[in-house]
Amino acid sequence: MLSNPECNDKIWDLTNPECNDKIWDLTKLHTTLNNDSIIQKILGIPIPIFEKKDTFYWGLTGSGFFNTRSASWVAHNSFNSKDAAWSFKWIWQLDIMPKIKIFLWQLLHNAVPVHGVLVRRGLNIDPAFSLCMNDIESNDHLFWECPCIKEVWNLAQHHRSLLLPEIHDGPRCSENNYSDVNRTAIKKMLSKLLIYYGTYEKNATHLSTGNLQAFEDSYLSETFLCGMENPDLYAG
Amino acid sequence: MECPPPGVVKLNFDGCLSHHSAADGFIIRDWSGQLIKAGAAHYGESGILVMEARALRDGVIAAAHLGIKHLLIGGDNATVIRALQGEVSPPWQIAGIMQDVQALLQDMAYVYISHVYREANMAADWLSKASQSLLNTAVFWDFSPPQELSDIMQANRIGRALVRRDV
Repeated sequence: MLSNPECNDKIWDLTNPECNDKIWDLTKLHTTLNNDSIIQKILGIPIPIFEKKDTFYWGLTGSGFFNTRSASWVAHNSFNSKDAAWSFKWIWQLDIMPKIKIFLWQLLHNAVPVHGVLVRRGLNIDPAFSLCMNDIESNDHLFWECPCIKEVWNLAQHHRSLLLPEIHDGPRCSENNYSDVNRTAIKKMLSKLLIYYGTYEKNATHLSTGNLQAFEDSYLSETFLCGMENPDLYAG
Repeated sequence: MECPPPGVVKLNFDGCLSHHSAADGFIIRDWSGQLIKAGAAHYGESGILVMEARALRDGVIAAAHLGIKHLLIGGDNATVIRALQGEVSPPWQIAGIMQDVQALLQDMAYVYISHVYREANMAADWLSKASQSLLNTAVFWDFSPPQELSDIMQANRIGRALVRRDV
């Protein structure tokens, strides 16, 4: 029946007419289909007791109603594989303030509303980076590629309290083969580490040590970092 | 087990999945914990939600056949219970089954639905697991249930603390 479109049998013919509670007729299923795994699946389909009209359901949502979100998941081939889809999930495990987690999440998903992103979303504004006017203000340009920004990172990296660990020690980096894609990921990882260490240092100073030198150091690093983004980021 | 008031019977249901088979079980008892009817069935391949709803439907069908009018329903699947209470609309997989259940329950005078923890649902749980090893598709017991089931029922009757058993 499934393999033969000419067949006039109906699904109904595969149920047992003699039984009061409607059940599948195992003998008929076996003679018609001869494929045990399909038969097992059919046996798992409950037959309604009371007559009701057939209805269409969109199988990928709980309610059975269509929505574009689930369709988009399927289109991106990532339905039921959310782990793979969210490769930056580890951000939420970091021991830092929620607003910084949110910022990092946006940064790594290219969702920080910098001018380039806003233009892509349809806003009618000048997409150029106002500091250098050389390129579009994209996330990559604003946080990595612009020479002005590179300067900031260099200063930050040489700052005593912001010594970076070896890249190889970074989470998820060890399995990478340093392809171009991975290099970008590592660069992005560095920005995360810098912000993380900056914040960590600042909190340690404020909360316990009272060491004036450390405070100055962290204040310095904050100034570097705040120059790049919203100063409120470090206000907490 | 929470005892129903005199004159009311209690239905517990449960569904379960093993490697390639889905099964359900239900048990109907009176207020004193005496068995009225127990049933277990296994079906082909299916999802846990469908099996829980099916267990409920099988139980309600049995209760309707017995002419029961006052029914207390307890199950450990929150989705099915909340759909039955009308708090959420049922997921599409079980929408048809739930319509059947609602239609059957309409003929009853008193229906009370409660969510119970798995430990309190042991008898139905045991039935659904046991039914996977059955040769027949469906089995019912009116009296003289299997020893293990009567042990669980006896424990329920005397109100012994229920300990989560290893699965």
